[in-house]
Amino acid sequence: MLEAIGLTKLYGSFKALDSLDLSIEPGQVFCLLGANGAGKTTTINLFLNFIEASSGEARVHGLQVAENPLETKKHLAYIPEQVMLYRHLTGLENLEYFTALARHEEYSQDQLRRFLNEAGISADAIDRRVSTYSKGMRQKVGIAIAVAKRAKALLLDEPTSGLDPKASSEFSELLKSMSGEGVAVLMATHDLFRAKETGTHVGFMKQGRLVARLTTAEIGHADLEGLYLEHMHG
Amino acid sequence: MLLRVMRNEWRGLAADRTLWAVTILLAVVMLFAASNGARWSALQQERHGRLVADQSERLEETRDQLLEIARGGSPRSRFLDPRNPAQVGQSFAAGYALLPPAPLAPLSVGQSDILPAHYKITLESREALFAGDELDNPTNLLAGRFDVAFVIVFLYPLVILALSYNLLSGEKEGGTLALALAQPISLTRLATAKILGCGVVVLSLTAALTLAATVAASVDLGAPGAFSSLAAYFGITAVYGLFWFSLALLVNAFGRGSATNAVILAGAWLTLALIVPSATSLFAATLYPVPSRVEMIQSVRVAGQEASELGSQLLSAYFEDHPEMAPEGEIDPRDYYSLKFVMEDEISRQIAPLTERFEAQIRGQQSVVEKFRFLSPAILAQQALNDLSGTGYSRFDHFRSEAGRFADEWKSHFLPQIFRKTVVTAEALGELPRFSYRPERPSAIAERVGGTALLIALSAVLLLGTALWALRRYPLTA
Repeated sequence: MLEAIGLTKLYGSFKALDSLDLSIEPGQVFCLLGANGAGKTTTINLFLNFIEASSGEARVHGLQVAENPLETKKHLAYIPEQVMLYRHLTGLENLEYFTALARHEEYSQDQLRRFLNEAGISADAIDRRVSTYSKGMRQKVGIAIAVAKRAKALLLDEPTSGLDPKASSEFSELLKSMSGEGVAVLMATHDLFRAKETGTHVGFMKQGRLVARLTTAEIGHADLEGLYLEHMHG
Repeated sequence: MLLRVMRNEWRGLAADRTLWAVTILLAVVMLFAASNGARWSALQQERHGRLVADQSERLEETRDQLLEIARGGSPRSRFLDPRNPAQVGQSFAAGYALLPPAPLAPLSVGQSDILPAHYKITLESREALFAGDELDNPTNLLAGRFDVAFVIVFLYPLVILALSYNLLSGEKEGGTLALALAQPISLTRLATAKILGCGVVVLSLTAALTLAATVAASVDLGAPGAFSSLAAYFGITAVYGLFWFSLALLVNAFGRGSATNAVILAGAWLTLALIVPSATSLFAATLYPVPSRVEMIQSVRVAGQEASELGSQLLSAYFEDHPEMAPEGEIDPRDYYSLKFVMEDEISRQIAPLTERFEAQIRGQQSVVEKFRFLSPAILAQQALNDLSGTGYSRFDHFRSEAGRFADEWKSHFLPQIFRKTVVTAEALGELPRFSYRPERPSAIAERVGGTALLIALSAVLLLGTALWALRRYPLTA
């Protein structure tokens, strides 16, 4: 579903991403781990066509991103570190707008409410302005947008950083249920615990290179931390 | 989809206090401008009314006097005789050439506070008749009074810029741009829809307020041409607005922050609306300085002295040239009025090169303005709005030549009578030439306004094209 082939991004002589090869199948949750500036966000931005690849290609659902920027975005959902919504609109109105932009105008108000509800926004919060929402609530609206869009692939950029443990765990549950329905997930994160909990695969990035990849089934939590530190120092 | 984004833009605008503040401000300013324009317009009409009344009163009185004299009475003044054609043409019956105000005149004072809308037509030379108007042509660039056109030319762009300076930068800084562009919509499309959404609001608001101002200034929309002029007024407002929106989009397309955009756009407004127009007029005046007024007066004096020395010689030379004017029988070489007008004719001839030079310089200045006006959409918009309100330079120029034509007609009506010493009777008063204003061809105005609109539209499209092109390289990530 998500595929990177020799994907490279240069800023001048600086290699932000160095020939990344990656393939994420439906139902897989691939967690990218690594220090700040290792190339995790760059990877996500390349899949979103927010930046142009210097060489190599990113593919979504078999389509080249650079050549089909709009078509590929129909399959993608994006949840940044901070889901920023229109503050003057309610949660429902935000969902309605972004779903319309995603060309899914078929939903009734009730259906939209259900999406928000299932994402964990309480009934009374749905009609409140987003300016009163906590970060956790906004991330959940992000999930609701992804679900309503029927995205086949989810790109997450440190979505749980700064969330309290409860919100973080609720968020992970939502992710699991999405991947259970066959959504391919690429998540950049610093949270080793969440990576182990929700991920099916983990990859370590260092200076733009993917230096190791493992399935989470192969490793225990303690091992993951050890491996991570080993790769970062090595 | 387009409509979706536009609707979202409206919601955003409605939630933002800026729009409400701007609406109230614009409404207040517009109504103030309307009352200003209406007051000015009423003042001019009142003045015209007084002039017409003065003229008919004078004629009436002269007729009474003539009838009295015919019944055996004598003139009321020792020095003024209504039977003398020179005195009738010069003062008793002197008429006015009046420029009737166009229907939309209250919307734009334009040049009407600088250029005369009436001339008193006497037997004086043209130079003397028109000496009342300012010799150093006030360029039609400078903003005049606080009228509706001023609001549209100068304040309306500020409203547009206040609402669109952060069109994209605002969403980028707020983080919503990334989420929106993760959906299958291109930045170009999103930006276009946002501009459209904002544009529809600003334009309808301005159009509604202009209409309110039109009504408040008691413009008669039923008058011929009024409705189409108002429609064209809205058209100019629309393309002029498009220019400023395109500029805002272009500045946004470079991906700078909202604060930077605001500074750049404020600078652009200052340059295009204020600096370029004054620089152009300065440039025009430097390139084509008009001869000084003192020089003009000196020349008239010298020519006058030479003419009076020639005296009777001039008179016989004149009648040789114009035998049709010559009185039957003897020419009286000492006749005051005959000498006066022949001398004036000579003076006009003598100073003709200077007058010509003067007019050439004015034309030169106008041509500089014509050449450089496309540098400032504010000049273009002001010209077009003035033209539509009938207060533009061209209409006054046309009126001046109309008045000149009438002055010639007036003079050639009286001169033979003066030379022949014809006695004016009460009946003859009814046969005096009358001024009737022949307006410019409507197609000439339409061409001028259309051409100006096209120039504004062209620069707007050029900006818009550049903006859309620049958007392809918009930096989405910080």
